[in-house]
Amino acid sequence: MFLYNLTLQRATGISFAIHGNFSGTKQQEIVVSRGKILELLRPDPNTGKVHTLLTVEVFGVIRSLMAFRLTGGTKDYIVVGSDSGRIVILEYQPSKNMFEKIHQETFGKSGCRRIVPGQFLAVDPKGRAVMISAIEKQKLVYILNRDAAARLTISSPLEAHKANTLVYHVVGVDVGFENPMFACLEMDYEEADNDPTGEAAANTQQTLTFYELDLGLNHVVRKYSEPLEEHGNFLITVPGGSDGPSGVLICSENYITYKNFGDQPDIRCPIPRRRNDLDDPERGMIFVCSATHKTKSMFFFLAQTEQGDIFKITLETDEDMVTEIRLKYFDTVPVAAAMCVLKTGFLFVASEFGNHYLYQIAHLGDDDEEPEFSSAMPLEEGDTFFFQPRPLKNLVLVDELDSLSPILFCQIADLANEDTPQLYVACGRGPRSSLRVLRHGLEVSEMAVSELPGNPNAVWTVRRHIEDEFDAYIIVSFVNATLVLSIGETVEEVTDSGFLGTTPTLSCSLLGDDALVQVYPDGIRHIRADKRVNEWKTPGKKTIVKCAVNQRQVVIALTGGELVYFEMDPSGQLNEYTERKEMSADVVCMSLQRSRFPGCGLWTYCRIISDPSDCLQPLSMQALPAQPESLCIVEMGGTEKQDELGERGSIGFLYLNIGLQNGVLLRTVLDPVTGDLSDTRTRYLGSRPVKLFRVRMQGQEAVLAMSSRSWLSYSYQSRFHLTPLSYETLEFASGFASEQCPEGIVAISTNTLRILALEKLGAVFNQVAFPLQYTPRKFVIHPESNNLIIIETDHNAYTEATKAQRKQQMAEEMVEAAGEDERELAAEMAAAFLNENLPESIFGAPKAGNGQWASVIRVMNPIQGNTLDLVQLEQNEAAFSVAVCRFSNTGEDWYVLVGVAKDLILNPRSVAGGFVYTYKLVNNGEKLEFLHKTPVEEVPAAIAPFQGRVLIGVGKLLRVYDLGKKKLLRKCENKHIANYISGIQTIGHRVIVSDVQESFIWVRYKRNENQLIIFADDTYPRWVTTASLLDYDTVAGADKFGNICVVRLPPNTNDEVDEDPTGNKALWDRGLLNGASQKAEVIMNYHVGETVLSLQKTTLIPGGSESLVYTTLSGGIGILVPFTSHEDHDFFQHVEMHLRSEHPPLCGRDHLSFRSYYFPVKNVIDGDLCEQFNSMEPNKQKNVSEELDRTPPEVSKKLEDIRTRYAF
Amino acid sequence: MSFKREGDDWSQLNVLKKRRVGDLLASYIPEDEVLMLRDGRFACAICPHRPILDTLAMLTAHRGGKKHLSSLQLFYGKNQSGKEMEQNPRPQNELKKEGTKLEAPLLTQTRLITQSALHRAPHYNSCCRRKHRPEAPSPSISCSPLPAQEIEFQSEKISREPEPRSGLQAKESTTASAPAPISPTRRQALDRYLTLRSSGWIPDGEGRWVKDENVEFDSDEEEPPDLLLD
Repeated sequence: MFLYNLTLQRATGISFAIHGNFSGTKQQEIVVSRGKILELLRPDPNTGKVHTLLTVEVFGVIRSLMAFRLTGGTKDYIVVGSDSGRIVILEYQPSKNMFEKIHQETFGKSGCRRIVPGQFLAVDPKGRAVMISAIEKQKLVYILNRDAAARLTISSPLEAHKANTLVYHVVGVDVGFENPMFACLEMDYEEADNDPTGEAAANTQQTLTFYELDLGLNHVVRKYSEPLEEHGNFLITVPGGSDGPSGVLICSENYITYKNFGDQPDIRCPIPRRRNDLDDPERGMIFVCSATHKTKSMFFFLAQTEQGDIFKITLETDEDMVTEIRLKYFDTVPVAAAMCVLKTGFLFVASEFGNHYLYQIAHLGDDDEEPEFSSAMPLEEGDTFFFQPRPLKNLVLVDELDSLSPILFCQIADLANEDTPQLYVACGRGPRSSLRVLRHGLEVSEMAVSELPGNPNAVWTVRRHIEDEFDAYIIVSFVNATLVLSIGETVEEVTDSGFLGTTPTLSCSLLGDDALVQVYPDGIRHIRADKRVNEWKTPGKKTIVKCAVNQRQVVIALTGGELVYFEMDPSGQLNEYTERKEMSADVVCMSLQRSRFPGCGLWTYCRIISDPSDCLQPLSMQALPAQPESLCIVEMGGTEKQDELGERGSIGFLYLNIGLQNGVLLRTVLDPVTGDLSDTRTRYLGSRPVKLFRVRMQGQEAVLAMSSRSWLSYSYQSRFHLTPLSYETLEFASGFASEQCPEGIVAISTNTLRILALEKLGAVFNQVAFPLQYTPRKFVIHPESNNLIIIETDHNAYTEATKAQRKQQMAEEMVEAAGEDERELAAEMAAAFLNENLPESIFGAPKAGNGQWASVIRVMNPIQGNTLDLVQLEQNEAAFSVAVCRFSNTGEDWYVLVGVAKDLILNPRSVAGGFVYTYKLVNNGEKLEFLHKTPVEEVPAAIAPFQGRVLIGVGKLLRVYDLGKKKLLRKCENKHIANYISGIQTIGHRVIVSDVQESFIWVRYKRNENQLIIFADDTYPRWVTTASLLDYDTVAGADKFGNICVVRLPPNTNDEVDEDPTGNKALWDRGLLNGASQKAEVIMNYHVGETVLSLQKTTLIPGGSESLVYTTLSGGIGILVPFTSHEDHDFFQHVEMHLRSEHPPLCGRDHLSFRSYYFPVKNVIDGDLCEQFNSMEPNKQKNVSEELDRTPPEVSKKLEDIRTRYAF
Repeated sequence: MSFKREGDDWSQLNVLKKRRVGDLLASYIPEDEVLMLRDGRFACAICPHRPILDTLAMLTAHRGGKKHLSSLQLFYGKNQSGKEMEQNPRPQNELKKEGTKLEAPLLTQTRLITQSALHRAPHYNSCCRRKHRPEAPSPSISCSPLPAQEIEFQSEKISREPEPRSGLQAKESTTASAPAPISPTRRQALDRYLTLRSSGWIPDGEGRWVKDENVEFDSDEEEPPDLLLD
């Protein structure tokens, strides 16, 4: 078995975000890292939409990311710390739209190791040096400079190692143009390590250490070190030199402290807390991330607490001495992994979990009533300030980037009866979690829908002048009339446009600079800017059947197959070309490329006809499998767009798209010189004839194809996408540009006119989200009603009941604490407090403390997303497993079993026991009726139906339970599973148990002896998270380190093994190291790089083949597909091999060793690497494809083929 | 470390050789004559006292023993009288070979040779298979009070792929008549037996059912449910 790995949707969680002018223009961009992916985002300052410019998979773990700019430079570089044991400096090349590796310096072993640098990066704010540090001991400093040609140079590394030292954070201190300085939060554990009494360990303090790079001596010195009172978690650099007082802010538990060299005293300010917070008041509060905003005149910091509250921090100075730290509550947004403040006034929040946001900073919060807290305010030690959280005031949400991260569970099924299965994904964490339904398709936002007097046939938009940015008219054609609408603030009907309204229209367009042309069955109407009208009438009884129009040319086809060609002369006159061209058959469809080719389709033939200088000569002809319906020539691919520096990138190819009547779309490359047609790709779009329309998407041409479903064919990040629109059937469309919607589509559907926008280009799935209360852990589908039964469990959380109780208690305390005369006021306040309801999805849920659990069981309709039933479990009962099943002794009733742990403490682990709740599904699968509760000794972490009974993994015990009257009855037990049963799969009499740490164990149930007997296991330790059966002997599993494996029992495996019948089993009688005597074989191993939490064997497209679909914690979705022929496998193996050498990963990690991170990669070819073929430079593409005895288009066609055979 | 054998002690080498041959030959032990245990050891299913043997070598030695041979006679005698159709697997195998030889002996032979040359490992087929070689008689489970046929019926239910089974039947028809279909009452009885057994009831040997002490029952469950029904 050989498999091919394809990513359907890349990870969406963000681990780092940095901003800067990476393309070297005034515009600021954001670079984010998503684990193993680097992505360049550009927020559009006008629309506020965030566009993705470039996504690169680096096949390595990005551990740190920093931007820097050389002194006096205008362009920012990216420095990446990864697990490659190398420091890599990247530059964004806007003309090629790629990251270019400028420097790659090796300093250590690969892998995420304790003492190999890469975990922390710090740059000198003036861009003169970069420090890369490990978690322990090693720190290296590289000096950055320019050479004579102004290229960036990097020095050899300077060591700043100190043994027995742990590092928490490193930043570059802004010291102006003095010697570069780095501040470091460190802890020296040497003494603690050598002191057996443990006294030293208790007294060890964290230190703030400054390292200075002496540029004169070319040497790094540990300049100064100071023990800290509180344990810090991160540092913020304070602007220095001419911009500010320099120094650092140390964020630690409950306090933020300013420190600097010299006479500067420490300034310390407590972190304010929410008033009347339900959290444990003893719990500390820390800042988790920060963003700095600096202009010439001022600077401030935005720092976010772990509750999501952002504070604006400013420093008061007196002659370069900081006298005061001031904090002001700014707003509350979801807890972020990173924040960026852009010069254009946007705040980008890369959420820790769930969707990411772009906010506009509307106010700086300078002049409002919000109290400002200051370090100068006298407070007792341990006391702090309080503030009242409130909805957004200073920030305005402008864009939201969907993120599935973390995906906890996923099932793929066609519950909505749509032919194509949907992905039901449980994602998110805590109160921001949701169940999302993913469907293949592009999300369509409906800008406007208006009803028309009749059923229109066609619609176009025209501009009034060639330099106009936006369209002026929408022309709607009916059976016997034409309606002209003008686009302004509103869309209104106009009659003075010059268009003929009493006839249907065949086509219309802008002609020349400012004239319009309307083609209708009886003639052509040329409307000049001054409203003079020239008309050309068809001769005799002939009418125009088809036409093609562009800004200079008009080609019409008359009945009988006659082609007439018109061209505009310099005076703006539309002249008929003297010679007409007789075609041998009726013309079915036509298309005109901007300057050269009118293409025209005839019955079963497609001809490319050259331009009139050659007198409409046929250039090439293509036979078609069915009658064509429409044609469209577009220029796609490459980066056609001119970038801001005026450099023009490579020009894309010309493509001839042919829509056939049988619903097939053909895409053919059209040679711009000879007119040759080559490299035809076919795709079935739907049951209706395919109509094609040229539109503009993100500055490039794209084709909208309409069949029974509408599709958009576009090029995005050097890959072709043909994606269906998640929208109802449309009949005709045209591009649309207005101020509100610069890149939209105007379309007709029955009797309505719709203005649509496609914003999320590049996304494979469109999603519908239904909110949940706690983190969803698992769900099952009730097969009869298709309802989902979801278990949601959160640690460190209160149940609704406890929350209400605590609130009541706090309100009572409030009243009691008040004096006699304040009673009334206090009661009012308490009432207000009880009524106040801040949405937890924004403000977060109160943290209840370690060992506090809250759970619910929810029955949900997956189509409407409404909750049909909700069962709240008691405080500290944590649901971990769920199953829906029937029992053979109760007939047709469905039961839901939920495994619940009681008082589970994670570390050090302890558990008071567990329960299995049994519910009967009543009311057609909509309600849960509680039946009984079965106590068990350990956590029941896995439940699976088995032969009319259930198998439950209780800790390390595997048991068969049957339904009893008062509880579940234990019928059989196996105690020989190694650690903890994390999953159970069954097939026939075989049970495949996944252990949390010891891979898979095959168990056979012997019915006539009522025994569960282990007969085989795996030879590798795998920390299995999820598993899926592929066939009777084969199981696919994923582990928590991000590997996927397939293991199979060898053909001679015997599952008829017996327990020792003599019964005198002794301690030494248990096989080698407690293992089973028969072992499974590894079929395939692959490192995905993200923890995989669900695996399912399924088909994703109707009529497609089966594939293994996985979802990852970081929000990625991928598939593993089997090769069907040895030729394919051989081909892709070679592609992979050549790409490994010709196109090595960006961050310096070796591809083969990355994919073999934990187990040597076996029998899997990495499609993500193979698909990078498309983004290679053309000459390299040529080299690689020559080695493969093919041409580059053939290679990319193969890459596209294997993808579309299984997925999208 | 090397796994190469060092030294030139021929006796040791011969011992190893003999063991290797023994191991190879051991695969000719019919599956119903031996039980494989969970820990990889073997129990002889022929001898009534079920001796447990640690390695294949020991099992081979045991199988050559006098005691075993006498038990073997007893065992097959019983089996044959019980089912009539069952015979020693070897002659059956011969018979089958002869049957195939009739068509084109040379061709068949060549095909077999090429097959074995091309496919060093058995071809993988994802379908579920019976684990018994066709020539082996149906498996019997020693400590079960049920005759072998019942177990066969049970495993037939699990089996998804009928081909090996039908092959077996076809071959059986050449030597003996096909087993008579199980009558509905018999099937019911078997079903009841398995249901009771899997829900924790144990036959005490006197036709009564007692509760397994390691299994939980409903508090009002005093007798097996089927008996109550009767």
